[in-house]
Amino acid sequence: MKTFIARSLFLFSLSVAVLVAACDSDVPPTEKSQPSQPADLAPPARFNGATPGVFRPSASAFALLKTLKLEPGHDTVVFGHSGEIPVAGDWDGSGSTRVGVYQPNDRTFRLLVGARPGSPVTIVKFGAIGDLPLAGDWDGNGTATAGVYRPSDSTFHLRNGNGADEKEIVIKFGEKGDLPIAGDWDGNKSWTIGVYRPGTNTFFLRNSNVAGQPDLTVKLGLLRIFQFPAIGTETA
Amino acid sequence: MTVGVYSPSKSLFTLHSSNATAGSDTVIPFGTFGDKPVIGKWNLN
Repeated sequence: MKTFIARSLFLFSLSVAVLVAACDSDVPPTEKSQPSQPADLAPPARFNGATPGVFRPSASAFALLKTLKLEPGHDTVVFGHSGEIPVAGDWDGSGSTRVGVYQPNDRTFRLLVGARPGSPVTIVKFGAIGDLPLAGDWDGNGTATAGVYRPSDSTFHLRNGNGADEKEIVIKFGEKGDLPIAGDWDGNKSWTIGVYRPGTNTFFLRNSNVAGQPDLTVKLGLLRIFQFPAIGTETA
Repeated sequence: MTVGVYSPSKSLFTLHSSNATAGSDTVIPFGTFGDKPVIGKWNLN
């Protein structure tokens, strides 16, 4: 049973850990889209150009949607290996998000600094066994750097540079079972931490990278509650 | 930036429109079994 829960939680953690979307605030509600009708999806303008993508371990590649609609399709970037966890960030201040992967076995980030395979790769050895990878522009300087969340003691470990001797910012936030997330929640250019609590389908977000009470609490719709337990069923 | 989730069992992204409980969801079916989500401004072209 323990193994089952751990496995389910691990798979689930990979799925929500880094998922954030740039979005204008105070947008009016729109009609819900129907998954079976891609043409009816909401227009992309509201999300400031950020779109979803997936890392497909079986193909060792990323599939990155061009817009929030399934047409005109996606771009493929061959990068990463099975067993690795995807990350994404603007590694060089280009204004575009690039992909990267984290290899849990040797606790190493490999960040693709460019749009295509063959671009330079920045290697960052960082983290401990069991850590979950993050990336974000923690100091608001225009470039994203690595971070990890350590579930064993609910601490974030953030670095503002990718050098081996870079100082770590350590922040205790969240509780057992929480999954990490990061983003620029208040639009001040600095990315800050947050956690997702699967049991209550709730995000708790900080607007600064210091310990404290959540600045924002976001509980997603009831529908989602019934989706996530299904993940456990699948991996049983 | 606002929060969202990915449901691996349905290969479905749900992007929330605000960082408050109130707000709308944009639902995007994308991916296949085993995929892991990312999000960003890719600008590949």
